[in-house]
Amino acid sequence: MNISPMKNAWRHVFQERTCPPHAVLTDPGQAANVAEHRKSCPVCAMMKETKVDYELWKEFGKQLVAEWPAPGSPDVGSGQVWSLRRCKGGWDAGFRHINPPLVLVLEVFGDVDGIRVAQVFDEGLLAHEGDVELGHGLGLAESWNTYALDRNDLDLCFGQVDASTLEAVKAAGSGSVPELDEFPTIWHFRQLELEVGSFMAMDAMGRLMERHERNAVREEFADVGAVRAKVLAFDSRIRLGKAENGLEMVATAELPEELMLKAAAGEEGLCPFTVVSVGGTTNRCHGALAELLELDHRDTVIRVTGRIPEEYSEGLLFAWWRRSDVGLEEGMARFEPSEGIFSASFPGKSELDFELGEPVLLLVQIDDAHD
Amino acid sequence: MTRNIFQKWLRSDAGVAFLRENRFLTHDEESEGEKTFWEFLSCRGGGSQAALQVLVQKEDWEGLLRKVRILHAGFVAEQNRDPLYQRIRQVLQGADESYGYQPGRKYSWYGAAGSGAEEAEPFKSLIARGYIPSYPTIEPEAVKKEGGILLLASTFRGQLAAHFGKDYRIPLRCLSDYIRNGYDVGLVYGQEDMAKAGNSRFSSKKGDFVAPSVPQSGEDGEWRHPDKAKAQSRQQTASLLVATDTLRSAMNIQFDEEELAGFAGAVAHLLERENLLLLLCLRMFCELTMAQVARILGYAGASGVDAPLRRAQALIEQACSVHEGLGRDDLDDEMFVRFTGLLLEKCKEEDCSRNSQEKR
Repeated sequence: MNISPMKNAWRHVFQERTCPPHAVLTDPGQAANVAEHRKSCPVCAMMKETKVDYELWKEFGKQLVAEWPAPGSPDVGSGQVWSLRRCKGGWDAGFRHINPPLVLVLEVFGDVDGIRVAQVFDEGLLAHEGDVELGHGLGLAESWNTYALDRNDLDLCFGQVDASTLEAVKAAGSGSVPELDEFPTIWHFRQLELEVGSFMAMDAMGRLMERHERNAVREEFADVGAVRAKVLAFDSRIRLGKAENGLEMVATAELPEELMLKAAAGEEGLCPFTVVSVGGTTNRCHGALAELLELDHRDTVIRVTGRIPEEYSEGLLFAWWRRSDVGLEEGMARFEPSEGIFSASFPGKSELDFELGEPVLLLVQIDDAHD
Repeated sequence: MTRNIFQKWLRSDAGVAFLRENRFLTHDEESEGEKTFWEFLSCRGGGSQAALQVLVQKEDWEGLLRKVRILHAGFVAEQNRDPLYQRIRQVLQGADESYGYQPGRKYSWYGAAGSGAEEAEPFKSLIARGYIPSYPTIEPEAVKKEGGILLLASTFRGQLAAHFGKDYRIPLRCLSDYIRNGYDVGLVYGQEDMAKAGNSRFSSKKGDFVAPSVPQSGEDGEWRHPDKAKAQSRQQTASLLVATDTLRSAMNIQFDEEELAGFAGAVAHLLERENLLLLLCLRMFCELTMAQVARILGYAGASGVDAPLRRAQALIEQACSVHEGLGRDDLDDEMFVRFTGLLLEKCKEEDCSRNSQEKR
């Protein structure tokens, strides 16, 4: 039966956004999910099975893009159009495989390594009020569908729009929401685009919030003198050494014995660490023990994985690698409180660093109730 | 026009194999329009360059196939529209860079390049703002020839720049209106077809335009679903929808029962996954009241059924939006009744039956 161009366009976008890509279709580990998708995808149900000659399409693709400028990875800036990393895609609860769209970078938030983006599509028949043509084969920006992402979510840059186009997108986004009652296909398309956007943003939101909290904690611990005063106001017996910032000072603090009750064991595979509370008039401190599950050195990177006791169901973890003759060097720490598992990595480390050094952990808990 | 690597490849043995394998026309059968499609595609991917590059980079061949097909469908639909517009596009596409041809999915432009360039307003608005067009003296046939069209494109661009003081990015539609305003284009492209530019069909072999092969619809709205009238007023899709619906009406195409059954099966699965099929069935097929449905499904009261029922309706509506004849804008009553019948047949629950005690 005939299909109207607009319906055909909508059907295509529906597939583009929700049907599994080649890499997933051909992954044996995804076969069950793909089968489940095919059972319930309204578009797949209507499509006749097409045998695809991959070699021909591969060659076609290669020839098609041969003379186009190759995408690159420049410093991230406003006005650029990027693809998102493959890992941003995934299955939703209804077995739709949400595929990462192209995005236009509207703003860069340097403090949290974040960006605000507008989602991009290229199906002109579905364009409506609030969509801005970007030109240069980049598609149209959805000024009504903007969200925050992690800068690391970006994969490759496909072009840059000029300042006036960028402003046009921002201006269109501040306009009123158009009435779409008379355009049901556009309405459905936009609902799906918002769902895709929310899928992309959801995954990044936790990381951006954590970075924001980390920044706030670093700011709180920036003034060494003030931190020293607040820690000593909590317990004057705590011994604090010289340090570049309050975080390192507290991480290496020597606590009196009764504050170390939870960190008394000295067995191998256990790592005593300090837990500090912030937000009150004093900085409460006590010791705890982390279980080290893995500690290895590979390709100049030391990696530590471990478990934090269950009672610490929230907090931000900071990690350093310490060599007594070198001092502390901060690494990247990740802590998933719901699972109690943490990981830390320390790049640029030699075998000697690994043999002579040890990890130092600090768990910061935000608590403004204790005082 | 210099053929690029892609064009050359399409004409190589490998390219021919690709076209045949994917059921695009072979070289021998390739019409002028089909040739232009590959040129259209190789020039910024017909407006989808970045999207095509992503598919190639991610090696998503199924996705690339779908993308090329939809681009092809859009291109063919465009080919069936205004012949003067198509000829202008064809000529400017092959012109040198100084003409600044910029292809797009829906519209194309020429003139000032860069997305920062200001776009010229529609021709009527330009006139309203005091622009008085003037025209070079040319032979009637020139409005179809490459030289003539390029001359008119340059003249129009120059006049706008002189009058408004800026080099515009000019929609080809605007140039087409300029030409039509100054010359009796119908003499060259065919009178009747020019009067119905939106429904014309292009015959490339003869190089002229022939009337549509299907009967025209009657008065506006005659064949349309009442709810569609407003939606179809939308400029950017109207002519395309008219063409399709006219064709369907003329050919009296019935829906494909097998395809509809497959579609209904998928929707049933969607509903079943969220335990909504029985609920829907009890309400629609068994025609129980909300209170009765609530009792059977163990809800405390009738209001408990409200949210899941709305969820079921939303799922159905979204799924139906991709099916021709089942969307809110193109609802075909007969097809929808058949669809709901097929959908509810999928419900195998014991609680759902005509003999339900609750019904009485």
